[in-house]
Amino acid sequence: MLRAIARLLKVLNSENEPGQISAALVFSIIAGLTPIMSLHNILVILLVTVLRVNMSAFILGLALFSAIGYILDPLFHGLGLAILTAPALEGLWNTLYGSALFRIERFNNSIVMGSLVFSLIISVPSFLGFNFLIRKYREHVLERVRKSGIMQAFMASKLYRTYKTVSGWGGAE
Amino acid sequence: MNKWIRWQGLVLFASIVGLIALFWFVFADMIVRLAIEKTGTKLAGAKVELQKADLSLMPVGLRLEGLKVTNPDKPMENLFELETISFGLDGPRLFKRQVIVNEMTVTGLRLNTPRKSSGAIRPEETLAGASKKAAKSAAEKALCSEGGFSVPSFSVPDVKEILSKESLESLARLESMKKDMEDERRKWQERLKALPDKQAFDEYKSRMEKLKASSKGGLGGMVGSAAEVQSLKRDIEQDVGKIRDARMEFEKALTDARERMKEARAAPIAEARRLAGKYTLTPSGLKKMTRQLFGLRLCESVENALAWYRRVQPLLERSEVKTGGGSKDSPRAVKPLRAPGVDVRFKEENPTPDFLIRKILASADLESGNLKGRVENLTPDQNILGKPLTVDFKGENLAMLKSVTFDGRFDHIHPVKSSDHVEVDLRGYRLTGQKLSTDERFPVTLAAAIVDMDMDAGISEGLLDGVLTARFGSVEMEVPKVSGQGPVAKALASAISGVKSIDMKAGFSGPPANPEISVSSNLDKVVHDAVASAVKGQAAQFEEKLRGAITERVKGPLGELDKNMDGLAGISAQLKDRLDLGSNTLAEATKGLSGGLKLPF
Repeated sequence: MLRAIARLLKVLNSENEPGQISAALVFSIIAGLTPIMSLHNILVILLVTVLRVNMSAFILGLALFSAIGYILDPLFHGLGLAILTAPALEGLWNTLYGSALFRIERFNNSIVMGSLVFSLIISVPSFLGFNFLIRKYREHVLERVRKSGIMQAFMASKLYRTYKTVSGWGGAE
Repeated sequence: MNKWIRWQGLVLFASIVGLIALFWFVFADMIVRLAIEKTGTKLAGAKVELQKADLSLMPVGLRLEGLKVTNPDKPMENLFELETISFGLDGPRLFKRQVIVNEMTVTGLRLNTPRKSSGAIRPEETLAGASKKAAKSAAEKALCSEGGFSVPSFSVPDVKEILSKESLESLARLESMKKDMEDERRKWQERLKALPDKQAFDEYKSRMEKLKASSKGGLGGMVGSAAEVQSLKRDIEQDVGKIRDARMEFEKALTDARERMKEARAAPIAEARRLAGKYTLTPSGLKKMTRQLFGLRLCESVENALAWYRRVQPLLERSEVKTGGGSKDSPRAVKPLRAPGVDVRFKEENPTPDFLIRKILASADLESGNLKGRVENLTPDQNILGKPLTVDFKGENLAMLKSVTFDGRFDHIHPVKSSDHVEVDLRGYRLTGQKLSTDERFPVTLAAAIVDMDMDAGISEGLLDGVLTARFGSVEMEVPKVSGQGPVAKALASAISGVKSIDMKAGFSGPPANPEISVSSNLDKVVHDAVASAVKGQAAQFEEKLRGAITERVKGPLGELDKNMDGLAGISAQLKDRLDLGSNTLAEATKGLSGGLKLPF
């Protein structure tokens, strides 16, 4: 059992470059802030599984940003409604409204539109921000966390020892 | 490439998708069934159960078996049950989240079937909650709050008891008259004292004698007498005039008094009539017999019909949230039934509603037999479809009736000018054992009848308007033997039990929440005519007794008034005597004095 968990942890933590972690977090923003059962999230999950991004960061980020999404729903509704009823875009929406993809995706729903636009807008700045923060964390904070009592206790645990063994087999850290 | 792509991830993704698809194939039917039960329960406000759901993908379709929808007002009864519902869906439209059904077949519709377990749910589980139900209950209570049959009282009350409770106006009037007459008599007696009497006229006579004697003393005596004669004549004339004026005034007062006496003698008769009308059954009280017997049943039927109308309302119109654009082509936000946010509807090349059933072929198994019908264009977006909902049901040679047709047209193409219209035609319906009155004193049951009925009703721009005509033939009424309730009760029972046919007309109008219901039939006249004479006879007897009792009461005061009238008549006689005396004296004075004066030449 411990070996299985350890293998899982290995897979989840196998991609740990700052860019890989940041990308995972950006994907979790899109999946978390938008309604989870939307069509575009199938694409997001496909990208997360196929691209070399950190899956544990994606899972953790998904949980966090889903909760934030509930809180920001009123903002998404207002933004989405404004975009959908903007006179300048009426022609575009009229055209897309006739397509099945538009209707399956429910682009005409205010929450879906608002949350998707919002998450796409913040995706690039978020990626750069996460990158910066991860590097700074590794430079200044990581060593202190490793030396903390909680971390020391965890590193002495059987789970961690098994994980180290399995990690050693794969050659990844 | 391997630096960016995790090929194992692709395998993982494909596996997950495959697992989901497999799960869907295996459990789709159960998921659909649970979804229908959950959503149906929320919409209906009571438990919805489905025995089986069978989803097919090629072609896209669904077959439901054993659908039961509980009546939210009667949890141990199903509002309706359906044996099977089967329909195909327009596949491509489904991708656009549009549920378009070209033809749906419904079999085995049954109404008001009993349940083995309660179908009640907690109020928070419904869409509307308890407050709407409470409001609806309040509206229903207000609608039929008139109550049912109330039997008029047939026992005639005790005359003594009535007279002890009631203050008699005739007696009060007599007392007032008595006082006035006494005052009048006293006034005239005083006035008589001031008027010239026999003594005064005797004095005039003495003066005349004196004047006659003085006229024999020569020319000087004649001249002096003439002036005194004139003076004497003037005085007599004045006194006679006073008496005459007084007599004229008195005669007028006496005439008024006689008039009042006449009214006083007639007052007990009028009083008896008034009290008789207050305490006994009058023919006019029986005119609303139809309303008393049929009103509550009719009201409950109207209430049931309106309750069904309220239930189907969400299928006729969708509530909309305006986003601002006023024109027909501008985007409009439409509130969906379940998802958060709002769905904005844009202009389409070929506008199609999100939910539409073009045709439903249905068969219903009722107690009386099987009905077949069709429903067309069922959608809450009639404004997009451009066609109204139509309903046609027919049944012929059924067990309990010859034929029935139900035609409905629900036009909500323009929601502001919505118009719903229904026509029902019933022929040869065998009605049995209908309780029309549950009053213990006078229970009435329509034991049997054959009914033909036409109803034409509609709701237009929020107002109900309808007419119902019904003919009850081969009527058998059950009215129990009424003993000890008097001739009126017997006449009423006889009249009702003798009724062989009833032609009834009812009208309802006004706001659906509280419509006005009017109902009338030949039963009103039949009962009225039959009972009227019994009521009249009884009322006349009672009035006679009352008159006798009141006359006895006013006898004393009336006797005193007669005495006062005699007193006044005495004064009249005195005035006449004095006037006669005065007139004679004047005549004597005029004749005697002028005849006695002889000129010497």
